[in-house]
Amino acid sequence: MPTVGEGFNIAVTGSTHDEFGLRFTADPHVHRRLVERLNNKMQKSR
Amino acid sequence: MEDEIASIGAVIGASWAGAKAMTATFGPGFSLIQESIGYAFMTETPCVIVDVQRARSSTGQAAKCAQGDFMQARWGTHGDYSAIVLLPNSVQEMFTLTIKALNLAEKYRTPVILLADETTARMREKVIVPPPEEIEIITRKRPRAGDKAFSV
Repeated sequence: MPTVGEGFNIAVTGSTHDEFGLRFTADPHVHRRLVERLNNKMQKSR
Repeated sequence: MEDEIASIGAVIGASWAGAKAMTATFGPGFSLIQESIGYAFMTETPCVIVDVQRARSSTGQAAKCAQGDFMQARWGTHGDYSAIVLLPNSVQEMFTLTIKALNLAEKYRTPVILLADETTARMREKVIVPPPEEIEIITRKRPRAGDKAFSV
C-alpha cells in the first residue's frame, strides 16, 4: 500500500474498480472480482 | 474532532498517510461512522475502530452494560463486506487485542472492530505488558522501487 505524499500516483475510490484502481461501475465481472477478492482475503483465513 | 464522522475521516486519512490509525467511540457514535467503515473496507484502508457498547438504543443508559452492537459490528454498513471483530473480556485482552487488531488491519488492509462493553471499560486490573521485542508487529506491505506489476 503506497503512502500518500511519497511520490506515488495514487487513485482511491469507493466505486467498483479493477485491479489498477480504475472505475468500472458498469461491468458486473469487475464488480464480482472485486467483491470476491475483498471478502475472500479474510474469509479464507478464518 | 468535532464528531465521530470527522474522527473516522481523520483515521482514514491518517492511514493513507502511512500511520496506524485508531478511533474509539460508543453505540451512537458507532452508528455514525458506519458509512465510512464501508468506505474503508472498499478502499482497503487499514484502521481500527473501538466500540465500547452501552445499554439501549441512542443515548441509552450510559452506565449500563449490554452488547447490543454485536450485529451492527458485522452487518452495520451497506453492501457485501466481511468484518473482523475482536471482543475483549478483560483489561489484559483490551491491551493484547488492540495490538492484534492493528496487526490484522495491516495484514488484511481492512477496518477491524474492537467490540468492548461498559463493564470491560470500567474494570481495573493488573496488565502484563511484555517487552517490545516480544510483541509481534505487522506492517502493511509497501510498493517496491521499480515494481512494474501494477504500472498504468
